[in-house]
Amino acid sequence: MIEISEFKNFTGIYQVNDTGKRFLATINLTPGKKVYDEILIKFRNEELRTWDPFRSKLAAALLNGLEELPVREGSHILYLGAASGTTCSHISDIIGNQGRLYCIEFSPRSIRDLTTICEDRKNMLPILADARFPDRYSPLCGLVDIIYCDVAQPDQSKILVDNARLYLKPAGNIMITIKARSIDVTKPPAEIFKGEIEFLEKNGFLIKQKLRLEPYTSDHIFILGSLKKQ
Amino acid sequence: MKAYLSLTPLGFMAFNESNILVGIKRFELNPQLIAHKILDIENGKKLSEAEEILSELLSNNYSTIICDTEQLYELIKKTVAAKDLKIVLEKNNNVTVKVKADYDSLLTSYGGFKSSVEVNKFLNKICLTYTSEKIKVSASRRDMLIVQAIEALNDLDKNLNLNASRLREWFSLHFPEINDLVSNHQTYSKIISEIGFKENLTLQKLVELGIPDKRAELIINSVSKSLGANLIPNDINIIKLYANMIVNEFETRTRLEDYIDQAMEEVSPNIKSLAGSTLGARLISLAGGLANLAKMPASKIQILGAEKALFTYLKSGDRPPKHGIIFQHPLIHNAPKWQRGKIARALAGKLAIAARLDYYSPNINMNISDALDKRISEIKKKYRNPPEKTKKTKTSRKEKIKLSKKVLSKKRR
Repeated sequence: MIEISEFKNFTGIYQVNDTGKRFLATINLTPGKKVYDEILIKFRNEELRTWDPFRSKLAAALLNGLEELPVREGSHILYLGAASGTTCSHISDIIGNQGRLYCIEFSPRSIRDLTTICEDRKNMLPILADARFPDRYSPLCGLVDIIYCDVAQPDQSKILVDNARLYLKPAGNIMITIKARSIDVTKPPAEIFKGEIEFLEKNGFLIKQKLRLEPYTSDHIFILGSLKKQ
Repeated sequence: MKAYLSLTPLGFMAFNESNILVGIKRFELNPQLIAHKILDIENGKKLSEAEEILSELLSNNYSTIICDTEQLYELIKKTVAAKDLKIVLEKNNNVTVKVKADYDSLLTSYGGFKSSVEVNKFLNKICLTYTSEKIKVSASRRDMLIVQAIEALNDLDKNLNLNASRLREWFSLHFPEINDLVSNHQTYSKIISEIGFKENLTLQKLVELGIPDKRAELIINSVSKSLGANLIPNDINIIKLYANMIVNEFETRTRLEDYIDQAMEEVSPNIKSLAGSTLGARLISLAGGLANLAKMPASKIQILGAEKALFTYLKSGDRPPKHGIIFQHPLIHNAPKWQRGKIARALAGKLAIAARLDYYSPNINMNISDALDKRISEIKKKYRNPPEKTKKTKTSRKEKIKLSKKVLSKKRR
């Protein structure tokens, strides 16, 4: 027996209960097409795609109690570290055709897979560029409501701040996943997270929530914040 | 008067300080062409549209042009009209901020789009072309081909060992005695592939395949006393087929090595002259490309490939690794233990220079191996004898960690 209900009060996200197994899902923007190896489920006149929290940190954050998800239908989002497009595809589902997802990825190998997805999903724009130099994709990008940063680099907070300065709307939101091992493999994660949060606060961000992502990913923290009004 | 210049997917747009559009030079509204124009600007090429908008602005009395990105600034400076204008770089200026905020409405009004969905489709096509072109450029880098080739060589070696071991076990059911007498996998496979039944072995054939006389005699003598089973043609033929496959694999391996040798000569002759083709290619592979290798400090090159040991050292405070994959270099593994660290350091230092030479000015082969040889002979002379064994006082592991953490934190400060 499959039970489908809305996931908390988040628009566009559903919860599927299949005899005890619970997973998240989003409405497929491109019905019939899979992006990774998710399961497609018919629901009313739509099709749902299951969302794997072990592969997508955003799903993990949602399951671990993320209180607010600024991603809505029509949102414009800058995604730093798009990789092969797993999380991107679900964000693309939620924002719908009116929304726009700028996908910045640095590795040619990963973005090759992403490009295939973008051929079907017109609300995703693949951009092969180094997020450290946000100027370089300036002709292609406008202001965004949200910046989602998942780059796993030691200077990732600085990368987020530099991109926010150029592209984030006033009082815009940020979501950043911090991987302790990428920043310093010897320090204890709690110390690293504290340092990164301080850096973000010093640069004008208000931290609304921080979550660990266990059991889905270890030594990662997910931060939801917003740009303080100047 | 000042004009603020911005590059958008529609073309060049110029605004005055009050955010009013004072000049526009449109690109042809073709997403593929627009993508190529943006790539041209990234690659430092000139653009006629840039000339045109500058002449227009100049004739309308705009003498100062303010650019919002470095790429735009570099492009504008190169134009002919630039000599009559003052060109300034001001990143993220107020006008740019407004342009970005009004991005969609600018695109819809000047691009003739009816909705943001249409704008999405337009931008999507531009980005697909832009990114595809960049992917092609990155794939055509010859160092990436070398990386794949050396990884293929590693995979092939693993397979060869696996397959050759299997062949030995299999054939030993028929003629176990030959297993210990022919240690070289390639020769063993060749013998089996050509001869099959042990009774078909002749002294002449063995010598032809490279076995020394005495050993060949031993092999021939073992045939009659062999404890192995007699097989039917069907059984032997399948073993021969398998052996033949391995012989071909060995040939492929040789050709792969030759390819890597040639490619290294073209792509990084200096690294090749210091470390040889195979080790050089492995270094490029570990670094993730020649560009990355060229940017690494010598100390990192020294321990490329010893990541496990490195992180153990960082966490535990025990001894750091002296060499990574460069251990494969005869200068290091043939040297006595107490000299290896110093030689590794010297070699890594020269490798760093070689990598930079190869990346920034390819095809020029400079004789850095001479400088290295000089340093190596210095080391060998000065440290000819092993150091005296000093009495080590037993420091507990905990104390060792404490001590090195102190050292590390002092270094950080």
